[in-house]
Amino acid sequence: MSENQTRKFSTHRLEINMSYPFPTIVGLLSLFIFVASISLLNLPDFDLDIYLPIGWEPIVVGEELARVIRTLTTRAAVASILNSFYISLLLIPLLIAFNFALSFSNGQIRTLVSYPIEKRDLLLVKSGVLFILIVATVTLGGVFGLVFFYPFTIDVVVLGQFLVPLWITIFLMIASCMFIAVLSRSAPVTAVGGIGVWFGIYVLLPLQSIPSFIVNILYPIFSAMNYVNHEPGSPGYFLGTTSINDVLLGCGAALALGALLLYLSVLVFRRLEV
Amino acid sequence: MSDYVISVQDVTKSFGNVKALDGLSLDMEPCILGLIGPNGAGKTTLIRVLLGLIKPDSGSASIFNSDTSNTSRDFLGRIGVLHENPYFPPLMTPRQYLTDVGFLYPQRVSADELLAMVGLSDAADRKIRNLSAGMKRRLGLAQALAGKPKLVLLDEPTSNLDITGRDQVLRLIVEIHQQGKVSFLITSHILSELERACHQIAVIVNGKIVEQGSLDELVEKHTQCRFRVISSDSLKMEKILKDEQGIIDVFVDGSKSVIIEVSPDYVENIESHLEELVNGSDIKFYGVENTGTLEDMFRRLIGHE
Repeated sequence: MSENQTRKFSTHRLEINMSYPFPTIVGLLSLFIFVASISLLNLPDFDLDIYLPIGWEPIVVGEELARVIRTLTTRAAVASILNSFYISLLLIPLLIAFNFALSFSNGQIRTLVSYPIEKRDLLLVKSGVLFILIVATVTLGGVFGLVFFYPFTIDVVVLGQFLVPLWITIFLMIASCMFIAVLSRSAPVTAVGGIGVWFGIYVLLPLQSIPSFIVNILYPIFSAMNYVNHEPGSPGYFLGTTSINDVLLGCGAALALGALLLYLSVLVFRRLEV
Repeated sequence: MSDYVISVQDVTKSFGNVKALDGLSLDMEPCILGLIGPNGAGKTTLIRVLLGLIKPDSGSASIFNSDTSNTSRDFLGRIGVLHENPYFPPLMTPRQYLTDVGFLYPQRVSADELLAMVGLSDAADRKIRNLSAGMKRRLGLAQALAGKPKLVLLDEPTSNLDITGRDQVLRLIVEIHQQGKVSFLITSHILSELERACHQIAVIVNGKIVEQGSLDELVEKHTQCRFRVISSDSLKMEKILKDEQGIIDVFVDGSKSVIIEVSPDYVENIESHLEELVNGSDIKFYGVENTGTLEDMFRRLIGHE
């Protein structure tokens, strides 16, 4: 490893150890696995109509069985990932509040910026680590539940269509909460502000007056779920039919918006007095 | 290009209505400089300005001729710092922490060497959260030295340390300065410690440097009229001295010792004056000596401000 790589690695390890100690990571992972498992245990309550033809023709029965399994697996993916996502809606603002905003007052930021570390690197590492942590736990939690309860029925393509928009939504949430944290430098404001903004948007989204492209940008995960599994009860059902182009455009715009917010956070953070 | 390690010119910094630094100027040559001042005088704010953590409202500050407003990696790579309330990752061990901190700097001292320096070798593999407050302070000192700095800023380096720990830290500071030509700027409320370690003293009051110079010069300048009176009973002695004309200030400093500050015209025949005063009383007067410590000087300056 070159000197520069070693320095970068040390910076990252130091920040991870300062902000996200191992028990926090294990705790988060356990929480998401628990949530995903509980979500899947409730699946039998879902209405699932099975139409078996008279006469038991093997081909028709086989096709019907495949349809039921596909529906069940898709619903399982939606349920486990969606519930994990709802948890991260709370967790992201709280983690940023207590691991970043609070670090302004407990001396952590002052200690770190007194070392030869770029403020940009500091903020990007903090955001990046949180992104990896949340994405890994949500994904592992969801996939663990699926593997545990529905082994051998997971459709990788369907899962990918959920997961990528989910990761982008998480990225956007992290960038926006980071921006609030940098502006306010207050853990309570970040926690309440972050949760308020994202739950507020979530509550307001189904209003008819809000154009669907805004939903596609702010919650790409909902448009993706609507695209894959358009049925009543799906969180993006109010959008009507969603095309793959809507999903892709929403994801791209959300990525750009998240990147812009992170860039603005870096600019503000560089000027902050600590 | 000046030879000053630190050069601060007319720096002003306000936080809302509070003026933390008020036209502060300070030049520091390569040495160990003690920055003393009452609580809220602006010591920590000055350290923050020097590190570029806050920008002054007006004036300029530089370290090694580099303006502190442009804190590049190279700039911070030459400075070690121990903040008053530093944050250490609780689940790391001192060895891991110092290793990682060392890699942030272009030049570094090994973690084991640092731990030995500050007397933490035995606790090298304990979790930081399990260290005592004094041990954490030593760790703070070690991390300040991790990057082989040319200047070390120490904000209250000996707080939470026991007497042995303080001795070790002070000896270490002097040793590092002598061996490595490292300059130190130290703030502390324990003035007797600064007296032992510092070559230069700067006194900061209400955001301004009111005095700066070599320790001996300053102490002599400000304590010419300060004396220790030794007698058989300091309380009775205090009562006698209180109403005497020419004695400006009196306070008891022990069972047999009273510190007095006198007017300049009283100094010449002070011993005979005091003998006359106690004559006829039931206490014995043993003698009087000029007393000049940093603490005396500080008390006097603070009193005047």
